[in-house]
Amino acid sequence: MTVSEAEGEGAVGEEQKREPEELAARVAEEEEEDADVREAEMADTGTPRLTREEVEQGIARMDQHVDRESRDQSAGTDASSSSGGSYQKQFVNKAPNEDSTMPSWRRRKKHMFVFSNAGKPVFSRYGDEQMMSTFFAAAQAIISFVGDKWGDGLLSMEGGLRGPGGGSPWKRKANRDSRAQGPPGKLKALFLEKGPLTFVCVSRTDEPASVLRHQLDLLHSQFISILTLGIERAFARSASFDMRKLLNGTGPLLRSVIHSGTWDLPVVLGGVAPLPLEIGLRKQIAQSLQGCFVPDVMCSLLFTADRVICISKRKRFKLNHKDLFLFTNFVRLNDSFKQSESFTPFCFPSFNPSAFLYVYVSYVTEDVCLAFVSGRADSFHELAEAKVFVESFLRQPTVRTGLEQALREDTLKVRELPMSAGGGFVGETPLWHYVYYHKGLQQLLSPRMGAPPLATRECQKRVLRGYQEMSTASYDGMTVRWRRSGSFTIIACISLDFDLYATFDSIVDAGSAVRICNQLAQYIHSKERDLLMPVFQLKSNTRTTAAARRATL
Amino acid sequence: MGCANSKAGQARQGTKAVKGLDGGSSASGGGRSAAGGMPRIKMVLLGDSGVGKSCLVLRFVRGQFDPSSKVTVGAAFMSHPVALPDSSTVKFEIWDTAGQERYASLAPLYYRGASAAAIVYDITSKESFAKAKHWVKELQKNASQEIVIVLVGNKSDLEQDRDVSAEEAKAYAEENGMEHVEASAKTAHNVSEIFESIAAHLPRMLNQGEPK
Repeated sequence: MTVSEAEGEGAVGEEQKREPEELAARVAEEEEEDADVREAEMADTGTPRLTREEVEQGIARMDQHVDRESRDQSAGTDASSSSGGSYQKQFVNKAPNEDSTMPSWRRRKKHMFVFSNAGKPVFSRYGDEQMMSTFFAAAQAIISFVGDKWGDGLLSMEGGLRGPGGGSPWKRKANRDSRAQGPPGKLKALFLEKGPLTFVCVSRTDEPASVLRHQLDLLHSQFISILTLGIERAFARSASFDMRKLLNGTGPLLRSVIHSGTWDLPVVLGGVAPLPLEIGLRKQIAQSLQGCFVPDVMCSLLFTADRVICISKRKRFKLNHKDLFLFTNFVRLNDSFKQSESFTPFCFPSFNPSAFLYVYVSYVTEDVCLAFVSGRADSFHELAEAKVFVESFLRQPTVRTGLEQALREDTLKVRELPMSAGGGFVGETPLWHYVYYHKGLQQLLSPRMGAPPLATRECQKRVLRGYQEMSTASYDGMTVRWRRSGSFTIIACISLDFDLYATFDSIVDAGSAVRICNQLAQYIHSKERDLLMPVFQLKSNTRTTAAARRATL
Repeated sequence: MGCANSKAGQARQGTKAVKGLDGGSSASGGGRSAAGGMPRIKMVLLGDSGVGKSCLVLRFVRGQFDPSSKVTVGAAFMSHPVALPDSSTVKFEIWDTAGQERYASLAPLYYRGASAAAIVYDITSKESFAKAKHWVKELQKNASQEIVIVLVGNKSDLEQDRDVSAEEAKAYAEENGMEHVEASAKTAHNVSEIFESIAAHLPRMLNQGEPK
């Protein structure tokens, strides 16, 4: 696919003037958008299940994608402060030179922006927020107008996109190029007013408003996590306070959170993904985390890029899945943590939105990260000693091999399941993917996506949206929900203790699908002990605290 | 520096934070660690974001240069033993702070109790030099009197883009009783000199710091 194919006619000229590297990023982005278009087409025409060729094509495309990424990396000698390692690099502003007047900006599928009550730009997912002051001022004017007239905050607007005469201010310009007519989604605009800031989402992704609102909420939480509610005082002092100065360098973090709203299962379903680990080993690890007691430590965590290994925390420290996600995402995104031990303030918005806690972060192996959350700003050296203790424990041969094995092997893979529970190789079993969501612990067990038959990004996205829809839409209390769409079928089994979401191929019949679901649920339930992660209490060791108290006196 | 927000978190434990990261145990100046016996020199790097503080530290400690810059979050800690000309060894404990505005109010945590500070600017950026001056003033006002400050102009390999003249920086450093070094983390030019120039002040400092 070339740039000119994906772009509208008008934008080609500007496109050519830009830097080649940026162009590559744009192409990748356009490709993703293009995939969305195709996704919509597929859903419309009810394309039958993926053929082998399609799967192979998907794999080939993935390979190309990886190639391109590695090329980008090797070519990436640009030392601008926002570009970094591979994961972070995904979330640099994909369109830093766009503004709200450009057709390419208007064509983007999901916008999120933030501005202050004075109409000052704070953040925009795409484009240069500084160049869009007039746009933000207009949006702010609409909000105040509605507020004055009906005494009510503006919540959402919907605009018809298909009709040429729709009244939405974000309506796309009519374009002669039929490809650029865009996906058939209706344009939705959602507004979320939080203190001095207004969060706006303009989307044509067809996600329900409740889901978009959830994503805006998460973005708001991310803001709090960076700056705490203290930011409101700065606005109280001066309404025209420029917040962007304080957000310097956080663009990738904010964009990654928006991205996660669609792509990260823990965010989509609202839970924690634990690393499956034999309970004996998990207990031992928890003991090592508890064993190095440092006063004022609220929580110790051990986690990898996408799964949590162990949490040991004080009872009074409430850590919900949203805070945990924000924290692990923050660590995952900042490659600087891999270079050395770090100590940084971090606000857990659900626990206490108005204060920072202090977090010690250090990678104990290449993939495993250890973090201590402390209430004290001067506890670094004690925590660094505690880390040495945990590190030496994890180096013990039995522990190390056990942990390495758990990291290497995804025991949740469909292939690893018993035959009766839908286990088997691709093609042998109708089961493609599943999520087991434990309601009490708010934890979810699920094989990683990315292997065939869910190899392509668009396919993954559709499955994720399917799960999301199943979990949010009301089905009148039905315990088994069923949805056939295009190339696959999703079933949700809702019970008192757990939900099971499963993706099957499109030709599976209801009877055998439900039978597999039952077996699968039973199988996982029987193995819960070694799959789910109990939350361990961090008890204060009275002797240590007494000594610590003496030391501080 | 309107970082009111981060103060919100600190206000609660404000008094504790003032002690700095030694936990209040070791006095200003070089402390002697109880276990190893090797004198420890607490040092802090300050400066605007993107001037290359982390790159300088990585070059010094690991001899590496990574062109893909990784933004420091909060502060990173590294220690590195250095042999002094008088054949004794000291351990540099280096706090590499984040340059972003929102972390500015945390800086006291790291410079309190530090015996040395490197204030880094980018020779291609006037703005970063202004920021460096700001840090000098803050240290003169709030840090220990004996703190050794080195003014470091990084990215000396980018001579063609120079925006801050060496003379201007040198004059400013002399005015304020600091050493001035122009270095490049990329080419390793003068990087060890930064630490040597700090080490040159060490014997005096250690003797003064110890009795406390």
